[in-house]
Amino acid sequence: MTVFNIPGPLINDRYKSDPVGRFLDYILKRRGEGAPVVGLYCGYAPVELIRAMGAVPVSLCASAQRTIPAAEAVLPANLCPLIKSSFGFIRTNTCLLYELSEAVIGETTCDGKKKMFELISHLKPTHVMDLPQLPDEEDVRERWTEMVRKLKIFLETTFRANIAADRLEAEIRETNKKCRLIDGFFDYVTLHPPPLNWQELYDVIGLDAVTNSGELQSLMTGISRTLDERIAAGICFGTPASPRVLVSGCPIGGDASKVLKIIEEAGGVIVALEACSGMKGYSIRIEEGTGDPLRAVAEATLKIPCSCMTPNGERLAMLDEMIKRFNPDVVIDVVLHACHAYNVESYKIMKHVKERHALPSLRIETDYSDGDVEQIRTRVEALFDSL
Amino acid sequence: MKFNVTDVKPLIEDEFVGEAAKRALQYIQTKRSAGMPVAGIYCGYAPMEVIRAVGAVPAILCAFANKTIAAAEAVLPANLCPLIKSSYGFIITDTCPFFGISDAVVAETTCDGKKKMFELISHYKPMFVMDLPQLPDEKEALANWATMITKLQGFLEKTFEKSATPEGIEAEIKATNIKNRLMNRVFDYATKKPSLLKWSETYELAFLAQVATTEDLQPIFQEVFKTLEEREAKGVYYGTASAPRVLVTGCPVGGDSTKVYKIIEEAGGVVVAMDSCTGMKPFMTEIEENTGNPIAAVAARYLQLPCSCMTPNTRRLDELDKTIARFQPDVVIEVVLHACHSYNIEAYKIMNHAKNKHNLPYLKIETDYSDGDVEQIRTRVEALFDSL
Ligand code: SF4
Ligand code: SF4
Repeated sequence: MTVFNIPGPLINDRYKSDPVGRFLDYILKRRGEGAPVVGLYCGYAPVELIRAMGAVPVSLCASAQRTIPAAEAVLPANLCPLIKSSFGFIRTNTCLLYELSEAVIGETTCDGKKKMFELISHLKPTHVMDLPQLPDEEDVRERWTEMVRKLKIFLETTFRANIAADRLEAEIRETNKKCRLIDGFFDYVTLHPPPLNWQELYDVIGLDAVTNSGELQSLMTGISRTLDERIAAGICFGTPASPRVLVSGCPIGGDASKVLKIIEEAGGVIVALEACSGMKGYSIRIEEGTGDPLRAVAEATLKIPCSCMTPNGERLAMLDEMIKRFNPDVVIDVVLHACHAYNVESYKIMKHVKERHALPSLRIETDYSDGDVEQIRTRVEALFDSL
Repeated sequence: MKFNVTDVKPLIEDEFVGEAAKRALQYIQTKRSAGMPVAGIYCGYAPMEVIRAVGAVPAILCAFANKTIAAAEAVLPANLCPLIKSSYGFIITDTCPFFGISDAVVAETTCDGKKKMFELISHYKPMFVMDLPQLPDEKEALANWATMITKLQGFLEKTFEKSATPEGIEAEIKATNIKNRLMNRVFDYATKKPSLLKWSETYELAFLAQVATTEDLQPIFQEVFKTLEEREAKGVYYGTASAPRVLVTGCPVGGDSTKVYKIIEEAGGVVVAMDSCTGMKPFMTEIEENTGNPIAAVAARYLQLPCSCMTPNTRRLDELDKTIARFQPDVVIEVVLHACHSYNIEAYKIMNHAKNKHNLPYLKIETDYSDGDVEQIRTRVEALFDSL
């Protein structure tokens, strides 16, 4: 491990480094105030619609190994661990967030999720959105806007609510403000070496889900103050010689964070997290004041460069931006076992990173178990040695 | 398993007996020599009527050979459907005659693996990827798919410098319906107990009928019906009266994965129904005629295909009910190609449906194009038959 001079927590509230606890308390508090909870499975479900109704969106994507055996009684073993873990929690009635959800939104992002939804749709009101796969077709915005409109009808019917255009517009502005704050905060990881580690990065990345923009603003003020103090005191994470790592690919959380830990233990510093569990969403802005906020949120979500899209040229463009901004020395593409879309796309990513940016890259295929930790470690160490 | 008499005349009597792909290739080559452009396709959602109305001949690019997989795995993940790897392997090793003679490629966003594989071959030939709706029961699905088909028509017209008319598409709709009715008349012989058809005959006929026009198939159909009538008159049948009748459902089965059909027969079963895109599925639905909007009619028909890429694919259960009623199987065997998530997950529903609704034993076989699992599959199939 490289120099570890991180004193005190970055977020000085009672949760400190417990983002899950912070999130759960937030949900329970909002629920106690009467706000319904709506579960969703990916970034394509527009949370502004849910918030505009006074409800709380929660992500149901799970990342724990322990529910996977239960899932495999029904699902194939050769399937993405995220899907198996999520389904396993539901099947064993241990997913608090699913229990709390009064409705569930699914999206046809990948084969596995699409078919898994069929096996849970009888448990709760579940609405599946038909996501277009070719974002560059000229009628795609129209198609997706229609799907978002249907989601609105589903929500309004299920919750006997009304999602007013001005409320939606207000939520758009909220999202934009929060994204700007968090995206601005990422400037700290552009520093060389950065004044924070990936765990702290992750803690901040989740904050927009549990705050409004005012609350986030004051939290960010505190965070910036702490970071500025660290910088002034010469406190940094890693050394100037530590390889700067951009981690791309599938969402990484929970038991999959082993990869991030291994990278640090091998002497690397994580300076960018491309996945939707990382920075991906924060650079996207929803157009404000269009007069048609529903269309605006639909168009914004379509900009997410997920591998479920084809051809996913936007992902390369976003990577270019991130590489320019965060100056990594190496790209590590993490693919969850059996995620075909990210796995096949990995070839293009590695080729692009090599040819366009002359950066070495490594693809790590993994799951939520810890059986491959040492093997990953060996590969990461070999990669760093070769730099 | 064999016929009850020796010297049975093959259903299609030509030099290609047992070589379904070569027969199809020769057909396509003949058409191409006569000046027709070739449109390579990857699945049952490619609207054949539009392709034909543009004056093109379709070629199926899905491959079923283990031999090209190693080459594919230099680029594609090993943990991927063998159909996708095999198809891609043929292309990068420049050994796929079907891809070689395709003047354009029509692709569809049916599954994650294919969708992303297409990106890696899109620079070889003019290619059009169709954005397939995944929720066929949503009311916009039909309009969206019709729009896609219209766009495909535009792409084909431009690429081939030809054009299709609504009347031409309507004529192709009628031709497809005639073909499908004839195919079903053939399948009727497999509903008989015992069946009059060997699995490979159905398979070979289906392979050819997907690419050949109804008109070109007419003489073959005449021969086929003559042969089948003769078989019936002479009391020729396939298998034995007590052989378990097997419905095979699931992923496309062809080439090297026909090992499953062979094992089933070697274990004493008779494959009477082949519920997949390389079997009877493409011929099961009619297209509405004389609607005044042939593209919409075509779109509606293709959206009815009960593929596992659709959600929820309840139509597959309905079709299964019909197939079971018609072919009266004793057992359902599902073939899932390795790493095909959609069929694999859906298998759980199919199993419950077969067991609970039809009281039929069910076996899921996950396999690929290698022959490493032949004995293991054999053991499982034999155990299944023993339990009947
Ligand atoms: S990681 Fe891949 S397979 Fe898993 S849920 Fe996400 S897109 Fe689907
Ligand atoms: S068998 Fe399954 S994974 Fe393979 S091409 Fe077909 S749908 Fe895709």
